Amino acid sequence: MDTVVSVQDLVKRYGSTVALDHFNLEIGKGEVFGLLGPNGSGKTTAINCILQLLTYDKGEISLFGRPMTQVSYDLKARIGVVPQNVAVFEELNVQQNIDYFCSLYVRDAAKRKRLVQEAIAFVGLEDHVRMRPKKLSGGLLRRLNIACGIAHKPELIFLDEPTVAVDPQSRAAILDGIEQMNAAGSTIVYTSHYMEEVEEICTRIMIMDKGHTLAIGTNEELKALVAAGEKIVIEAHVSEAALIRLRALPHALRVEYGNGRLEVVCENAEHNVADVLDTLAQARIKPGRIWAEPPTLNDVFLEITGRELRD
Amino acid sequence: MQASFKYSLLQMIRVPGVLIWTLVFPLVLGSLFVLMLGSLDDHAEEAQVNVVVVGDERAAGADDSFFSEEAFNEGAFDEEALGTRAFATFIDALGKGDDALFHIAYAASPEEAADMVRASLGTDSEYAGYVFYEGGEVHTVLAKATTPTEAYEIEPSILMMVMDRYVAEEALFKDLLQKDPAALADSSLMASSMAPINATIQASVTESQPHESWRYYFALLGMAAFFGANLGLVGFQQIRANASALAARRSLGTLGHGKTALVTLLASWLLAFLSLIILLGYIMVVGGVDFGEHTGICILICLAASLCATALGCALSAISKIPDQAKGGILSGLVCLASVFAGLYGQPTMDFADAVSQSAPWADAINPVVQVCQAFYATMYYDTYAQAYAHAGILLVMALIFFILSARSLRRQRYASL
Repeated sequence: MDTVVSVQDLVKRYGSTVALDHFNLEIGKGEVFGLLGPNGSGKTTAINCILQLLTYDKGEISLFGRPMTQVSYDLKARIGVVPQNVAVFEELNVQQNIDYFCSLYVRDAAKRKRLVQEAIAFVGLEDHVRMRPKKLSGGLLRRLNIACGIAHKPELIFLDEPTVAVDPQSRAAILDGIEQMNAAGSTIVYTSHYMEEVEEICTRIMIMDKGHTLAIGTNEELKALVAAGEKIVIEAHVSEAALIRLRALPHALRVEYGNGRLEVVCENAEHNVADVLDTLAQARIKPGRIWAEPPTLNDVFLEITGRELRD
Repeated sequence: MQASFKYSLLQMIRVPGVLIWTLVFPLVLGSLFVLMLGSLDDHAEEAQVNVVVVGDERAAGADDSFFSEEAFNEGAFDEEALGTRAFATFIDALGKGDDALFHIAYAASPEEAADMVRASLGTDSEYAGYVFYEGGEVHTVLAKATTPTEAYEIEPSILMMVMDRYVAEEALFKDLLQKDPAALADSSLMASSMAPINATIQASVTESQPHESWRYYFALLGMAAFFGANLGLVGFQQIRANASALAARRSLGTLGHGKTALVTLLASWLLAFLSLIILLGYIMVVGGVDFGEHTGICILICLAASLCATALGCALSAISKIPDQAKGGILSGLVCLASVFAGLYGQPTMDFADAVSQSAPWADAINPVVQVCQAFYATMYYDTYAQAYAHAGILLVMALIFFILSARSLRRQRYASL
């Protein structure tokens, strides 16, 4: 697989604070790469360094196999960026905004006109081309933000939390769009705090914190890294004695009970459900509904990065 | 670059407040000037001399039966009475009509006239002196010392010249009456003697006729030019990648920092220049400032002024320690302050500006608003354009300095966080 993004030993300091500490990253062509981490973990700093928006203290960054610098305009022409904050001109309408940002990459006016129309259609803003951003809803604004970043049909697209504060319909449309762009050959680097989104669309995921890579792999590979297995949920009236027996089970990691709902989080093991049901039977407790949930990426993320609150 | 230039123009035009400061506010101020300064030049062109005449204003219209043809032919007339009567008629004629040379006040005696003149000194209606006819002679007493070769004040000089002419004409007529009365029948002699006295003529020692009000318009052009710095400020704020998400996004394109800066400079310069040209046209058409054949050099001055203003905006945008939201207000304050030294705000500031020019010319040299004002002034009133070119040159040097300061500041910021 061709490497599209290569970051080696990247160090970025803000005074005494180390934002990126010997950070490494390899992204292959055609991947949808998820970059996860708590606030302040270094995700945006890493992306800004890759894009040469930030200088860095040490390290090497290559895109498409060539060193990336501030004046690598041929490489920049192959990159699209959708920033976390909507960054468009309030004074220009939808079409003018997309045309402006497209013009930063495409000189040919006729070609640009076609690309702008395609981008408008891609994000579904055909009925709003003459509207200025302040007249658009949050979802439409996000779609405009995306259109401005991808109109020139880049091969590598950085999407920094593109679905923040949008309704479920818009979010679904944005995620569909990302999958379409990926299917058309674009490599995607995606950051988000919505774990289910990352789980849904990313082919490979990196979890980072404090400027370090904590884990990297596919969704399944990450889940296999952590001890948490399935979560067994049972509706029943459970006595205190039964809870003590459940917590004593060899593979039970966490047992919680309230409002007639019992949750038992287990390690990966073969007979977890049977063990729990046997324990309840011994306590003469009749279970109501029973189901088991496999571990989510959110469980993996919290286990790897910890549950303490971040700034 | 073409599309980038087009959208930079469009965007800057639509930024709230920018064109209000750059174009609308100067036009409103220009309109106020038209209303307020319209009478200033008319007043300045008046050359009426305030004079006290000893005698009775009714004397000019008094019974002239003593001056009958019969009495004249018989030589039986009172020469003193005739002289008094003639002098009164002469004075009366000078004080009549819309374009009267004299504004006359009457006094009963020379002493009263002297008191009136003394009391008027230093006031807006100062008397040039007083005159009276006594003992067959015209007496002229001036309020201030004036000699035949040196006129320290215009009005006393006019009064003295008019009275001298009257005395000469009177002596001529008396001489003719005694030696050759028939000569009085010569119509050409009489015509020349009776010709109106043109005590003042309009003359200009400068290239164009000076108008008091035009200095205010030149000061307004100076102020308007540097309100144009708002365009440079807004334009360059939006390409400093560390200033906003939008600016960062713009810097990701393939246009390059240099070309992006050039496009921004051209767009903001063009808009600042067009705003200034619109104001210049307004001042010419509505304000009545006639640049005539100097219009070309005025456009060149507008080009230099708007470039300097754009550079100033750029330099201000590059100062990272001042919050971007505060920069517009700071710029407006600076321009308003600089305009004081151009005398924009009325006669007291005009006097102050003149005093500063005389005592501290370096203050004018570093004030771009004053440089614009003086460039227009030099264009109109100097025989050559050398002085105007010098002021335009100073503006261009200022622009260069502003650009160098901006580049240094932006480079430091880039190494810090970009």
